Amino acid sequence: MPEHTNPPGKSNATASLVLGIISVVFCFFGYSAVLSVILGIIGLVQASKSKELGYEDGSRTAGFILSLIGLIGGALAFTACVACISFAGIASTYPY
Amino acid sequence: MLYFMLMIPFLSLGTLTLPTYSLMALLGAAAAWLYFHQRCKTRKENPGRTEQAFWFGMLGALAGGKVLYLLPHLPQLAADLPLLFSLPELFYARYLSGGFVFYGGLLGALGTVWLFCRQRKISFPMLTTDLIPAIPLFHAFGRVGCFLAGCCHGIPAQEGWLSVVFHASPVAPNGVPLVPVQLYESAACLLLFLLLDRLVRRGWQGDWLLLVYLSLYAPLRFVLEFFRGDAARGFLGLLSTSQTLALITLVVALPLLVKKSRGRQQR
Repeated sequence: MPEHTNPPGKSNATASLVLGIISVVFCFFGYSAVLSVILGIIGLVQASKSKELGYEDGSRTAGFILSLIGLIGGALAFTACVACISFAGIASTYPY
Repeated sequence: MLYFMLMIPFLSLGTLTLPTYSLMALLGAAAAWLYFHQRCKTRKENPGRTEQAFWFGMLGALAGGKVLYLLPHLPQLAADLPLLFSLPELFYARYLSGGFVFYGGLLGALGTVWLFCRQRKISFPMLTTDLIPAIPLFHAFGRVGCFLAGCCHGIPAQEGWLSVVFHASPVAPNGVPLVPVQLYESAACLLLFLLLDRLVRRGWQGDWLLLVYLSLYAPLRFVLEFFRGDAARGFLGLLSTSQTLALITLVVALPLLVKKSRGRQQR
């Protein structure tokens, strides 16, 4: 019976792809943008790990790009929330 | 009085409105990544491995910056914990979004990169050789972002000082001439980057660069904090959180740098 083994880095590429998709989706739900940033960075770590192991398939590239989009989109949405709500909120909340 | 008026908290591209603060932060991160990536390439490092260190550093910077920002607000945070279940939006707006302390980010980034090097058995001084100059490069962009948004603003400017007037800032006092302290820090960070890059090209290692960077940035930050007028950055007694950390950093880094350079001279 032939033994099926994944090439090194494939699982990391898949993880990067999944995390990238989730992080892009989370960009569009307001407060979940913070999760988008975190998942985007973890997705980028996974894509880089896959690259380190020599896996240069399309799924790795797609994972890298989606994670990067998730990170950028999350960062933009995250700070948009900051500028709209939090700045004024914090400034008026804390008695300094 | 010499002053200019400039404030662009948002950039409108058709129907899309982008916050300039995050745009500058992202530009800074991109510049830092390009610099780090290019330097690692010239050393013929495994790009996948060095990229991981960069991303881990970024994650550590976010976590460290946020933790240190929340530290002086702990009593308020503890009192507001029930909001997490009753009004999660308000809790998020108050504590999770916005507000990062640079020193916390720096410590977080260095800590995570150190852990990464330790776990992967990579030399920390070797990997950080290209990472340390990227820090002030990122910071220089970030401070321009602060300036555009109006956050981390300066104290009211005295007669004859170069000043800036904000008109629609959600955070800075509007209509008052303020010291453009964000731009001063940005320029200083850019100079620090150029100096560190020069040292890298002369073959200095990461541990040296880190000590040089900390020993130069700490007194700079300590002085600049006196020109900052934003109260939301937090205080520990008379000094701001960053001033306290700058003092601690200087007390630790400067003797180490002197000791290290003496050891080098003796050899």
